[in-house]
Amino acid sequence: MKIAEFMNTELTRVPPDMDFATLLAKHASTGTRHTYVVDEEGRLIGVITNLDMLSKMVPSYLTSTLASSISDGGELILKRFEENKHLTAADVMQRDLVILNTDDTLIEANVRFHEGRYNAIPVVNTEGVLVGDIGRKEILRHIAADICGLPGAV
Amino acid sequence: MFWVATCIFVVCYAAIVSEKIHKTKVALAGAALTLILKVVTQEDAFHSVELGVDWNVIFLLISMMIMVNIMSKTGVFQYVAIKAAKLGRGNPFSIMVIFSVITAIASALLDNVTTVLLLAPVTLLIADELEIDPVPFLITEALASNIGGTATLIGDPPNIMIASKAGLNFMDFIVHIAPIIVLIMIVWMIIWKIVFGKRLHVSEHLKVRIMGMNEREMIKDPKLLKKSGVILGLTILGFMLHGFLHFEPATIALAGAATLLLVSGEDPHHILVEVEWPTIFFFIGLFIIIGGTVKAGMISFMSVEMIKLTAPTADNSLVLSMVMVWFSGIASAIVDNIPFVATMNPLLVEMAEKIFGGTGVDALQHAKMLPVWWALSLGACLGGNGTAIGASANVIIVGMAEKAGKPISFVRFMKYGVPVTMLTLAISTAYIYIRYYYFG
Repeated sequence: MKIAEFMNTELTRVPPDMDFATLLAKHASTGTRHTYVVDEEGRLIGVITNLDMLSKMVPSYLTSTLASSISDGGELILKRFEENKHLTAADVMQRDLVILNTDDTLIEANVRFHEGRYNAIPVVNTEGVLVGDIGRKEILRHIAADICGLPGAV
Repeated sequence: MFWVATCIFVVCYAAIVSEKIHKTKVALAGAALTLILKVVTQEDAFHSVELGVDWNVIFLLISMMIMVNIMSKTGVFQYVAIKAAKLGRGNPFSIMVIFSVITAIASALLDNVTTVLLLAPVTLLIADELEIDPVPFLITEALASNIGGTATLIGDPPNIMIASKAGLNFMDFIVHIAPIIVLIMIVWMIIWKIVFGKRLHVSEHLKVRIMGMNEREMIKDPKLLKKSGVILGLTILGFMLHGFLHFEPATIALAGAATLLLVSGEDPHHILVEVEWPTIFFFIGLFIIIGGTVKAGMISFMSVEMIKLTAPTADNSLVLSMVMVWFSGIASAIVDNIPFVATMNPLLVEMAEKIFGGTGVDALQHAKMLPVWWALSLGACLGGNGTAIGASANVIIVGMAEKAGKPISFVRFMKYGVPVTMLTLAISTAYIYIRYYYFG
């Protein structure tokens, strides 16, 4: 079974030069897991996760213990936002990508999730154009419903 | 064998300095070659006091790392740092001074890297809250860590190595090195007051943020804190008495680490995995390489040349001591002070035996030889302040600053490091001259 058959095709795509404030607003407001950075032809060049955005909003040195010493971190977060305003989507995105191709199989996708801690993996066609993504839940749902034939999983 | 040992030594030293290959890989490869080419036998490498691995150094380092790893989980360092910032009423220069003193004291009793690793995040947070540049604070902490570490036998690896080789005890360092370190800290802080006193000012509303911080949240395990505090205190008492009790420092440290492991309830897998094994194996490899150079006669040859150059006699070692402070200081600013001291130790042993006659403690702790050991200790430890790569604490600080978006360039570190190194080496030179040659 090819993953193109059950991948998610509702994606958030942004250009690499999108400014940080717009990116933050867009990323926060959409229901998709990741924001994908694509070039003018729609080819995938980077991925931005929730964690990527969150890590830009807190100082790198702050541990949970140290954070508990401050009464209100709102100013620290706002300061980090101001410092990051000059960044673009290209500065924030992950460039070392794990991708699947449309003709990859369910079992290949399953193994990829085992090999790394990904929430979702983007799917590209033979030209490198982003066409969808697939998450752990979609694979599990497909295994339960279509392979194991459990009617309650549909 | 002379040239084989020399080649291994020179190639390894060059590879370590170049930093192209991890120093632990280089040291272990050099050690393997030294053994395979039979420069030293395995029996020598593992069991000879003169030619082999100094297990006193190895077990002292491992034991102290275990104790620090357990203590760092209590949150006591962060508690003390925030408490200190509040004691300074949020005044940046007061905080700088108090943090320097805390760093120096902590580094004298624990290892420098752990001290700065635990204090730097608090420093960055306080600088953020005060809306000031954290870089002067961070560099000052790295410098204070190296200066404080010089004060005791356990404060810095070069001192552990020197003490083990020369048979010096904890109290020897307290009596001979700690007083000059206290003086250095005072002079340095006075100069820092002139440099930073007027530049570091913040408005009152920012100081309020510091006063509002809650240090009590930092203590995550009060029971573990009490246990580890008591055991560390007893271990330090043991260090102070180890000469009297006729125990090696490693025995005291091992007893402390084992006791803390037993009573802490911590899983040894988690604690032991955090021991800096690359550093430990770097030492092991280095000891074997240096053992090869001793057995092959290279160190003996170098000692003859050093004697010709500095002309020490059984009555006067002034030139040797003075040269040792500055040579060690400059060398340690450029290369890692651990291989430097590992090389200088057997060289000084050879020199002592040639100049003062005999072997063992009589030669190594001769009244005219002791200042030379102190000169090596002061030079090697304080010299590390010269550059961003001169000491492990500096490397850690630069790395953390960069990660926090406040990069410290090599030149900017030197602007602080070089004057402080010059100042501390000059004070050390004057101290050694006055105490051991003018009055001695």
